[in-house]
Amino acid sequence: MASEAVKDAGSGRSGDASTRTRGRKAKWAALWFVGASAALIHPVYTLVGNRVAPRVLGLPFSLVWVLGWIAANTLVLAWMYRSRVIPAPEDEGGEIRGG
Amino acid sequence: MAAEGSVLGLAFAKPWASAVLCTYLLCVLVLGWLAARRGRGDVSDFVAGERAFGPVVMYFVVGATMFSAYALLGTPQRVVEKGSDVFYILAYGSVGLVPLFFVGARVRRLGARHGFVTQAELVAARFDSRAVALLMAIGTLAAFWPYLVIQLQAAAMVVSWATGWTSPVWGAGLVAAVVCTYVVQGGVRGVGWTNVVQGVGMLVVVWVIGLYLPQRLYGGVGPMFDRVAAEKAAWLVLPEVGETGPGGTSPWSYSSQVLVSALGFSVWPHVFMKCFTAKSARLVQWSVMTYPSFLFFLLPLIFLGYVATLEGGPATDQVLFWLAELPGLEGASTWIGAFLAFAVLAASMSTLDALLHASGAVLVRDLWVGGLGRKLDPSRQPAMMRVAIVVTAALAFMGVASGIELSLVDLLLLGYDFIVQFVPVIFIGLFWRGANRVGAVAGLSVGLLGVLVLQLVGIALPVRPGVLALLPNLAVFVLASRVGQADPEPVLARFFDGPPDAPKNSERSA
Repeated sequence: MASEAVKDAGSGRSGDASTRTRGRKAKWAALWFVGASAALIHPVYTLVGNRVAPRVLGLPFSLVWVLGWIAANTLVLAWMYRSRVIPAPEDEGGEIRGG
Repeated sequence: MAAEGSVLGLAFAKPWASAVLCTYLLCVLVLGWLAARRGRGDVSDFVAGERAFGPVVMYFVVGATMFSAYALLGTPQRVVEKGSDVFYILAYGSVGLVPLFFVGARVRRLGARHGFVTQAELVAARFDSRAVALLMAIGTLAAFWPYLVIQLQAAAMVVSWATGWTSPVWGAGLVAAVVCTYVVQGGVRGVGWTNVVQGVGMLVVVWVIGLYLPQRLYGGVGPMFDRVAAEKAAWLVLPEVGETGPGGTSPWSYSSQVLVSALGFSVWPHVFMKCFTAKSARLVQWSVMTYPSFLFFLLPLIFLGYVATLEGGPATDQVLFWLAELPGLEGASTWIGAFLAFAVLAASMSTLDALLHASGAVLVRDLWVGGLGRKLDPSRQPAMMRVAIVVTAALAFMGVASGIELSLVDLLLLGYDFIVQFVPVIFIGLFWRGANRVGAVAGLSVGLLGVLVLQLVGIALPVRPGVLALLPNLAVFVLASRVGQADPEPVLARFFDGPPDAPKNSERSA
């Protein structure tokens, strides 16, 4: 589904450089989330993440692995938000700061 | 536990828990009443809050709505039954809303430009098809009903536990009445404001109790997991391929749960609709970005599940309350029970309200006006939606009162099976000009019928019926679109040729 969304970002009505860069970034971001989903299921999860040790803060690694991906995905989303990878015009008065 | 008390001639098995629940119910009623005093009260206000929700309310609307009673009761239950299989909820949650980051801004923009307030309206307008609205409305209602019944069942269980009233009818009736009151009065603003209170309350209660119990019983979360590793190691990891773990879990069943849920997550109509509710397109993206922080709230529930696993708790939905009455907690037991009861009730109500509110909009806008093509003046729509909300609540209440035995997990997954069928028309339809009306109608019909047939036949399948039906749905949709003619240009123009997407002045730094 994300790949279609990428077209939105990259559909470049005017085809100028910034739109194209944005489209490229959106593609990488979409690819990241496909990879992140793969990391959370069989066979990647079962090969890498699915073990008790090493423990982190007392938690089993099988849980830490999943939590780590949540954190990483949040960072990528934050980057996408900050660098306006997906255009979101009409945001009059909607700029969010802090929380 | 505390002794029985009685107020106004009514007996309460657990007076403190009952008092906490009553206080909470009064609070949300007052909030709903306050919410009703704001806004114009027209359709855009009742359904989409005049498209003016700010960041804090959006955060809790999205977070608290997704955290249903199922998350609170089902998470620890699943740990006891299936061990680390429960991490699937975290796994799909980490990517589930991401599609809305990509499409949400555009959806909000289209909604504001063309006046859409529901998901089906958007899709039906894209294909200029009444049949699409009708099919989506039916699919939505089929998915909503079991979801509503789950929430009411959970609420009824909590009320019964606190008051000692054995029949679920009283609890379900009471909670349905309160939720109806604030949704009917306050519309989406009532839903939003109460969700903030419910969300904060749930987070605090669950974290405090989730850390307190392992600390008190084992000296911390780390030592607790030491014991699990020593005594119940199979509960910490998935089994090897070809083996089955506790509760029959396997790498394949785990992975297919993650996939179906991740795909379906963002197209639940009551979630998707919130794209129309946000104050700005940017805020939709902000909500997607901040949502995963809500997932950490599942951690304490997972901890509680492992406590129950070590202590030999039952693998039922009552396991949370079983924990509250563990020996060795003495005085703390009363408060743990009371606040857990509050948290479950808040979780069930914060989902119930969004579902009821959405079904009001779906019944009136999508089924009646969009699908069946009946005329209904927009000024009269909010009133009709209020009626629809009460009727839906009554139907869900009858589901509980009839005493049907439904497992929480099965019901929720059944809902996902229907909802996942919307994925092609929404995500492909929004971005592919070539997708056409015939394809959309045929794909949706095949998908929804497929789920229904697979459910009725009831044979054991290795994958979810939703996934199985999604394949022909997608195939028919794409094939019919390729073979047939594209939709008329004016229809497409509304969706693809709006004002430029990225005017220069929007390039302010964040």
